Parts: sequence; C-alpha cells; structure tokens
Amino acid sequence: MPLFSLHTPPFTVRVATDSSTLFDDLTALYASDVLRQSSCPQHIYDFHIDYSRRFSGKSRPYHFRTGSEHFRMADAHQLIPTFEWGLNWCVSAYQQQYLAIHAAVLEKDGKALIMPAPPGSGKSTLCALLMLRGWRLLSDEMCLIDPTTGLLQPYVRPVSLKNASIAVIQQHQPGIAVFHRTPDTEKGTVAYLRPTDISWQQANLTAKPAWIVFPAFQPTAEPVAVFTMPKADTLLYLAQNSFNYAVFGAEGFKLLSQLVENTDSYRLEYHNTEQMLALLEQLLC
Amino acid sequence: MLVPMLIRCFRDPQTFQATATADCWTNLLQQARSLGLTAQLRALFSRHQLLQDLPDTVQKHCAWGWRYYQKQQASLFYELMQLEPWMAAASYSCVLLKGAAYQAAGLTVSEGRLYSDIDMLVERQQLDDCKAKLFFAGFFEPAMSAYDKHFYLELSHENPPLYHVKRGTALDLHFALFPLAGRKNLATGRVFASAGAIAGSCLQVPSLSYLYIHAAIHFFWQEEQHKLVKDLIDLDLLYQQLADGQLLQQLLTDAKDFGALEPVVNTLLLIEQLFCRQLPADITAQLQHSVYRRNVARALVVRQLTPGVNAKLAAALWYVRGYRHKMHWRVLTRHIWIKSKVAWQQRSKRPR
Repeated sequence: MPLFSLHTPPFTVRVATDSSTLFDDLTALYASDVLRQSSCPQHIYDFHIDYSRRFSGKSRPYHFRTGSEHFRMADAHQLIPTFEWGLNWCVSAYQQQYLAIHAAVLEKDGKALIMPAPPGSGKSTLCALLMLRGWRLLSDEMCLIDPTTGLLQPYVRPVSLKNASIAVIQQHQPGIAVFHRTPDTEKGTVAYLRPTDISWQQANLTAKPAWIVFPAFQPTAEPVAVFTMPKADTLLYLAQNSFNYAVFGAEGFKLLSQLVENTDSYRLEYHNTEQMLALLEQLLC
Repeated sequence: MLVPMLIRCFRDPQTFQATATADCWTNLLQQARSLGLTAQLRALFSRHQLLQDLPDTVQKHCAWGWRYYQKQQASLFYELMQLEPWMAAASYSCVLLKGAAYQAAGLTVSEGRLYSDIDMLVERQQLDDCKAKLFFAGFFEPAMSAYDKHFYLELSHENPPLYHVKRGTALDLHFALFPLAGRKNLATGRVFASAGAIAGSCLQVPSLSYLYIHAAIHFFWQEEQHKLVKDLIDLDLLYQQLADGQLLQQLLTDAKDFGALEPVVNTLLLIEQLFCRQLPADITAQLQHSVYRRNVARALVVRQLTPGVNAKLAAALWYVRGYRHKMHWRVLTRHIWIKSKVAWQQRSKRPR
C-alpha cells in the first residue's frame, strides 16, 4: 500500500492509504517539506496511520487506525476532516512528553497568546484572523507545554474552520483560499486554512507564554468587553481542558501554576469581530 | 516460524536493539502502544541496560509510556490504601490477583505493566461480608437481570464487577480462579494456603507459582485472541522469575495439586518455543512425557501470531475451544437458550 509521511514538529507520521486523492488533497494544506510523497526508510515515525478501506468497493468507508486502535470511519468526501481529527486523536491520546491543553496558540514579538475555549466560542475564527494579521501560528487545537522549560512547543497544522466562521474569515480577508469545504460532518460544515509561511518556517521555534485569553462570542452582548480573569479560575479551567493533566500529576499542577503566575489572563466577550481584533492587539501589543 | 516483533524483542532485547532498522522500530512502537506495552518495553531495556543505546524516538516513546505507567501505579496504590482499613476489619484472607498482585509484590512482570481493574479473591462463604465492606468503602454493583446475576454467582468465578461511586475504579471480587461452569474442580483453597501477606498490609498475594498458574489458566483455557502476545509476555516474565528462584518444580507440583497441570505444561512449552528459553533438564523431561501436552492447541496459538487467513481460521477454532473449556456443553446450551429467549422477549416488548 502506498506510503507518505508528515513531518510536523514535534511529531512525525507515516500514512498507508489506498486513497488515490488523499495525498494530493493534503498538498493544499501542508508545506512541501512537511508533507512528503514517501516515507523515509531511515526515520522512526511516532505514529503509523492505516487509512484504507477494509473491503473493496468504492462506496466502502475508509478506516482511520493506528496499530490495532480504530479511531473512526470516513466516507470518501469526508476524508480530510477525519484525517485531521484522527491526527489530533493520536497526539492527544498518546503523547505524554508535553502537558497538552485544548487551546489555540499564536506568537508575536516573542510572546505567545494562549486561547483556550469550548467549541462555538470563536477560538478558531480568532486564531485564523490573528494568523492572517501576521501572528505566527503554533497550533489552533493544542497548546503543548514543555515541562522542562515551561515554553510552548509549536505543532503547526491547518486551521480548522466550522460553519459560520468560514464566511467570517472570507468576509474579513476577501480572496483568502479556504480549502476542502466539507458539509454534513458531525461538526457541521468544516473547511481548512493553510498556515502562513512564517508559521511553517518557525515550526521548531518555541515561544514564551505571555497571555491567556478566553474568547466568548456573544451576539447579544456589548460589541466587545474585556475582563481580567482570576488566576485560580484560569488554572482550574486549564486543568479541566487538559488532555493529560492527570497523567502529569503534581508536575502538571506546578506547570499550570507557573504558567498562570507568569501570564495575564482575560475573558474577551464580543460580537463585533473588527472592534475585538483592534482591542485585542491594543491590549497585547 | 514467524514470531511477532514484540516477542522477538522480549526474547532477546540485545539482538533486537543491535539489528532493528528504523522501520522495525516504527512498527514495534505501534504494536507496543496498541497492547499497552510501551512502559514494559522501557522496563525491559532498562533491565538490560540498553536504554541509553536506543534511538532518540524510541527513548521518547518509552518515556511517554513510563509517565503514564507511573500515574497508573500511583492510582493503584492509592486504591489499595483506600481498601486497607475496610479489609483490615475482615477475619478472613483477602488475596490480590493478577496486575494488582504483581504490583503489590513488586514482581519483574509489574514493571511498566498497566492495569484496568483490581482483582481480589475471597472464600465463597465470605463473599457477602466482603461485598458489604466494599459497599461501605464506596463500591456499588450496577443493576442487572436476575439471570445475569445467577450467571455470575453460580456459573462464573466472580461477583459482578463493582465500581467506586466517586472514582469509578473497577473491582472484580473473585471466589474462584476459573468459571465454575467449566467444571474443572480446581482446588481454590490451595491459593489461600499459598498466599503471603504484603509487608505492612492486611492484603495478601498468592505465591509466585500460583500467580503463574492463574495467568496460565486464563491464557490457555479461554477464547480471547486480541491479547495473546501481551499474555505470553506476562507468562514469560513470570516464568523467568520462577526459573531464577529455582521454583519450576514447585510450579509443577502446585499445578498438579491445584488441578491445572494442562495450562501450565502447555504455556511452559510455548515459552520454550517462542521465547527460546532453555528449561532445566528435569522440567523438560517431565514436560516431554506429560499426558497434558496439547499439540494442536499450542499450534493454534502459534498460528494466530502471524497474520493471514490461517490465523483467522486458527482464531475461530481457538474461540470454540476456549468456550468448551470455560463452559461445560450442557451449561453452554442452557445459557444460549436462556439468553436467546430473553433477547426474543425483549424484542417482542419493544414498541414498533
């Protein structure tokens, strides 16, 4: 079965698939030195993904598996979203090198912004908009904290947009290429943005955390409002939204305590995206 | 004979480390992760002082697995500490089994080994009292049908699983080592007689030979196929500790007294074959002439270890054979009849 590989620091993935389109579809989303047409025989991969049909027949679904662990099945038209979710699952379920929090991370002038938030809060929209305004993307899904340094490790991957956020991005950045718009997934319509060149180029460069912002899109509230978050609340929220806080135990508590102690935390409520972006950049930069 | 990569690695880690290609390491890491063996791999390489010689990526994965194992080990010991005051009030023996026993006894097999529940053995007549104590410790038994409860208590070897109301910890309370429906007439009392106290605790663990016998029973008289490699690795590590302590003759004597010589003889033969272990001459002689050798069953195990159509056929035969051991055919027939009837009745009651 054909093999290709993804070298997205800090994890590498080898993919075996019988899909004739998957590799070509991914070229729109990943840089050419990251997505490689073959696997390197001298390289030890963190994950081997088997993404193939278990039975012959064009209507048969693809199965996303690593080892004997099955993630889920995908019809041919949902190949990309399931691939991206599957990679997130591999990393969030198995890596224990970094303390991982469900959050978007961006960096500007050496300072990193962490945006943890539940689905529907506008996290990915905000992440995409900041990236398009020159911020370096570290991840739109996973904040990886190195326990030895406390610095944030990038894990650059395509930015996932859902439902209304697709139109918001296109409205704010006319002409922007939005790839693989896929309707009727379990998360509604999803589409992807390719990370900016600077994000790919600095995919190995860690960043020092400076701010934690909890965005909350609220259509009926003030156009934009910022509140300082109590540090204890911030710590609890981060712990609850960590993939492996329990595994890190006391070390995890110390790491999050240091993170919260050394950063400023805000809750950002908004319904006017333009005003919110202006306020955010004024507040942070 | 093709031997799975994980078994080759546990058989001779030095040779594996010296000869493995990058592709081998990638595949080994996937297989180990699937079976929850990454931390055990780290323990293996550490015992053989090979950890520093491993490629960086392999060291990294070993560290991932070890971190997770340390969390699990801390959780297990915490749970045992919580059980301690309740079981200390019992006037009878409470014997830990399987993973909890390996950890509590600090056996080699416990190094890096993950667990999913706590297994504990008490005498049948103490079951209700022990359940009452566990109830006050926060464990509850989920509701189930009268037949399912009857199945557990009269045909199986354990109480229905108990769960902690706050922590969700699963606890299997055994009153025998093997399902009663198998009609094996095993001498469970000998497990209690062999058990020794854990230092500083009211809980006990069976002797090393009975821990092996228990693992061998659940390997050789069962139908599951998905963790044969993991179970074989457990058996090999237990075997090595028995061999180091010159306890293999004791193992065969205990297995005979207990009534489980067949699984012990055949798992020893499998370990000799798959892990290339040199059994002592006196043990080899006894195994060679044993009436309990089951060549076809062992061939089914070996056949399942290499992928392909033959493995699937062997797995199907292994499944049927496993059920034949776990349930006498009369019990099995009655069980299938009742379950089918209940399923049919529930289907009829379902609104259309």
